Amino acid sequence: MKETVLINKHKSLNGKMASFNGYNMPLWYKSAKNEHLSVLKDVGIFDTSHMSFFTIEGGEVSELLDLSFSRVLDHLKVNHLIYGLFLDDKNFVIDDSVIYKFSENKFFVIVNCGMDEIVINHLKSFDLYRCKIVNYSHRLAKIDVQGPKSLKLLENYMGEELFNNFGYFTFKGSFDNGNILISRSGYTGEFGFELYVESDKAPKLWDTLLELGSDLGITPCGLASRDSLRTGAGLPLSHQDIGPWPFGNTPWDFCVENRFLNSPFYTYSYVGYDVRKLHESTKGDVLFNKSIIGRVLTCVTEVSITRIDEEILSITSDNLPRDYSVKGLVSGFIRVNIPLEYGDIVILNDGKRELKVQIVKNIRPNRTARLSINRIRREYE
Amino acid sequence: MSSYPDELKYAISHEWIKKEGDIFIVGISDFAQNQLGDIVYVDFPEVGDKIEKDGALGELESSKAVSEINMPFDGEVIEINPLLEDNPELINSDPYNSWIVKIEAENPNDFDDLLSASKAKELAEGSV
Repeated sequence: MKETVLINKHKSLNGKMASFNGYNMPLWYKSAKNEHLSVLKDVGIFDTSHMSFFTIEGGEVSELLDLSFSRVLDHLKVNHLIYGLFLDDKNFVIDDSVIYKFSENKFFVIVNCGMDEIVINHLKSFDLYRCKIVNYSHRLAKIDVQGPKSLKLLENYMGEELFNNFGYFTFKGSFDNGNILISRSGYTGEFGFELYVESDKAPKLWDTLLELGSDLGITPCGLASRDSLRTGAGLPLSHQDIGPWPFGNTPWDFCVENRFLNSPFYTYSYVGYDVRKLHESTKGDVLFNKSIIGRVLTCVTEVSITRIDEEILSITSDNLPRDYSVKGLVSGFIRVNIPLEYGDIVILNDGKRELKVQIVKNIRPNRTARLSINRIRREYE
Repeated sequence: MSSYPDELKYAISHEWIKKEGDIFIVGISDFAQNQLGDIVYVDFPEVGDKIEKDGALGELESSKAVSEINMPFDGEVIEINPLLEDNPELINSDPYNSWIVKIEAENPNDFDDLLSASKAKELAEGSV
């Protein structure tokens, strides 16, 4: 089994390890629930070095990415990043990806664990291909600090000035020569940063951040909370919520700006009425007016949300009653073959359980990912 | 390393069973709660349910999965632990004081066939 350069850190923290796409990774350390909640309230630290990274450069790189990637990169500025999809010729999702613009002719591409060769081969399949690709997957480590106190943590480490006007979906620095590339995307739905360093620099960086964050309530977080936070943020898990079927009519249609994709399917977010899930988190029928209309893609307990008088609130909502104990609600995504409306009630059924859930636009409200640096400073420092 | 109190017996599916007179008390082992992660809900059987050995005695909902609790031997459910309705996480923090159900066995001698602490520990360590 493959390991990241931080494997000894995970073991010394008694991480509950499991195989994740061939990597031995921590599912959680002490409590997936507490790790999830810590990112909403304080700051969590994640090792996501199992992800794959490569640079692509050349005179025609923009044209190549325009052909293969679902977003229009014409207006992407240098030092900005963008989230989108690599699609095949049938509009099936090969993988979702974040692309960083290093310069007019050079981009840095992040794809999922083990997807580097597949995406690179897809790029090489275009006649236009005359680019240089350098695969950094085994040379770089990625450490993410997510949560509203991640700003104070990094200011303590790098100084406040670096973070003045640090915009959402922008990055600074580089990972060459022992430096750090730092971006702000908040893929958990909460305010946060991602740090890229050469692999041998990662253990010291991990220790430093844990030490500096000890007064800020920093919590090492495993992949279970990463996934549940991501679902709560309304973001898809690749090869589960998006995959080998025509992409379209989804909560992520912003990924295909200026392009119309025809799909026979409709994907929706849902939230249920208590914590109970289906027995298998990725299997189950969806029923509407007693007819099966599709299938369940994801079914997880979002531990930080509740319903009060039909309104969905999170532990960070201002109107949550004081001392109210939030138990969580079942949530996730369904893929159906008829259009539905927000507010519609559907039934999820796996043969053992029937769950009543509601189609919603947002799973977890009051997310902090997009808040300005100044507001985070005012409210969390 | 998970703990296995010697005074309890264990089922292959990681339930612990304690004998108190004619009544048997059932919970899940430290190893089982550790494997499940945060328990967020207990789906209890009904008091009065008659359940066969290895039948579903209820379900535990963790933040990641749903797992069945198995009946250690033929019997009837006579009580459920009301504390766990609002505080299911007690199973994680104190698995051996957080009983889930009390049962009356059809044949109390079935208790003798359950695993000892050392055998259950050996079994759990071999399964990781």
